[in-house]
Amino acid sequence: MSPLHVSVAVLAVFAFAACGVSADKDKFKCKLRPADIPKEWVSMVDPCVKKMREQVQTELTASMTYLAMAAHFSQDTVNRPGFAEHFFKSASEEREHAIKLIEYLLMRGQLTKDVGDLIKDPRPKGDVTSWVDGVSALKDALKLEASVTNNIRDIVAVCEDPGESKFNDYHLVDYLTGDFLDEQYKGQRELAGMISTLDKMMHSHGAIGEFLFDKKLLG
Amino acid sequence: MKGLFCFVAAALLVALASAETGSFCYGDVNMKCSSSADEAVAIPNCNAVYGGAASAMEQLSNYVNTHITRSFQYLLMSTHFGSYEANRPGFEKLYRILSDQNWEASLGLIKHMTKRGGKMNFNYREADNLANEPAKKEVYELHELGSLARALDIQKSLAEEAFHIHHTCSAKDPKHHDAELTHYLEENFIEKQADTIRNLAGHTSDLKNLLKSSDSSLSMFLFDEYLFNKLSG
Ligand SMILES: [Fe+2]
Repeated sequence: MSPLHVSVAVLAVFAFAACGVSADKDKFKCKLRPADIPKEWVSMVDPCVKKMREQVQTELTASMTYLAMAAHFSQDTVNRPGFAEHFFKSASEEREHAIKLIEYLLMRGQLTKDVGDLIKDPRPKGDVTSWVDGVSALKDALKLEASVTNNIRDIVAVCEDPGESKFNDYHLVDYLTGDFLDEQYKGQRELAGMISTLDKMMHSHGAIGEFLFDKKLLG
Repeated sequence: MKGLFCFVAAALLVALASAETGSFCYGDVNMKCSSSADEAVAIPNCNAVYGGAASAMEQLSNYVNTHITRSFQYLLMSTHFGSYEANRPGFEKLYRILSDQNWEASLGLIKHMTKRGGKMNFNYREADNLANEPAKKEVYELHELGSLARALDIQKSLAEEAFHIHHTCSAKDPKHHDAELTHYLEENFIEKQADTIRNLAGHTSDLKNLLKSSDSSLSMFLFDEYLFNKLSG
């Protein structure tokens, strides 16, 4: 081991060992006494929480899918900087959606345990990382958004009527409907419009059509 | 007219050179434009590839994938401190910023790889040098000092991975040497990583000293508040 590795290891061992069980007089008080907090306000029910947690992974899978599209259109021999910019932006937006869901769950008193299960190594959907042309990527994007929209509608259904507990989560349902679904429908209309414009040109003016459309995306 | 002559002369020279080595774009184009066969447009040497960058693309793909993984790990650490039970807005913010930085770094790297004629491979992953540490299952519900130790380990391993790629691109052998890539790594990764590591090491030292008292709850509250204010400013 290099001296640097040794020092990293020593520091890590030091930090963790010092916090473990030890009768040592000058051990650190790393773990504080947990507070006694009433639980009545933590009102979300399990089936609804489970759906929301799954949606975090769904948003990150969408994010990785868009990142793969961005990487594809960035290549020198593909050279579609407009498409690349569009998909890089989409990738970061999907990551923001996942963060918004996490922030909502935290606000409602969730995510006090099993935090590690929330994100499971998200990858591009179906491991697809190349597309024959711009319009086929846009079509994949629209299909992806349609499936995400369905997922959000599923959460709404479960959180409105979670079975036995009969706890209708009005606030969450309102948030998902007013915020997430609103963005989904607007985003889908935008993608459908893009596909409409580009697809019309592809048959007889494919090469110049995609070239011009790409520059239009660059703004 | 004179200009045109020079252009043709230069073009001829390039064509001659390519006839010898067979690895120039101009040669490909000439072949393509003179042949009567109407095949698919293939001009294999017309790309952005030069220098040693091509030989570093696997390592760079791994570096992107590592940054994405670390970004999600930091997001989970941030999530833990954002819960009402942990309730440390300063730590929450610290790890959220590190998550954002790692995410942005991965996007920047992909842009740079493709600038240099490379292709990002989302499946190329070398063994995680921080896996199974500190436990078999990744632990995110850490106490404050433990989380700083974890972040310090992560940032050091990212910095050392940058050194490793830099080392490959600094090789004398022209297959690997790439001055542009070493410069990019220095400017966008290596310099920033030194600052991040020093900051985290400083926080670790401060917190370690604060934890020596018999009840550190007040120290922890004040330290977290300091972190939050510092990162919000
Ligand atoms: Fe989304």
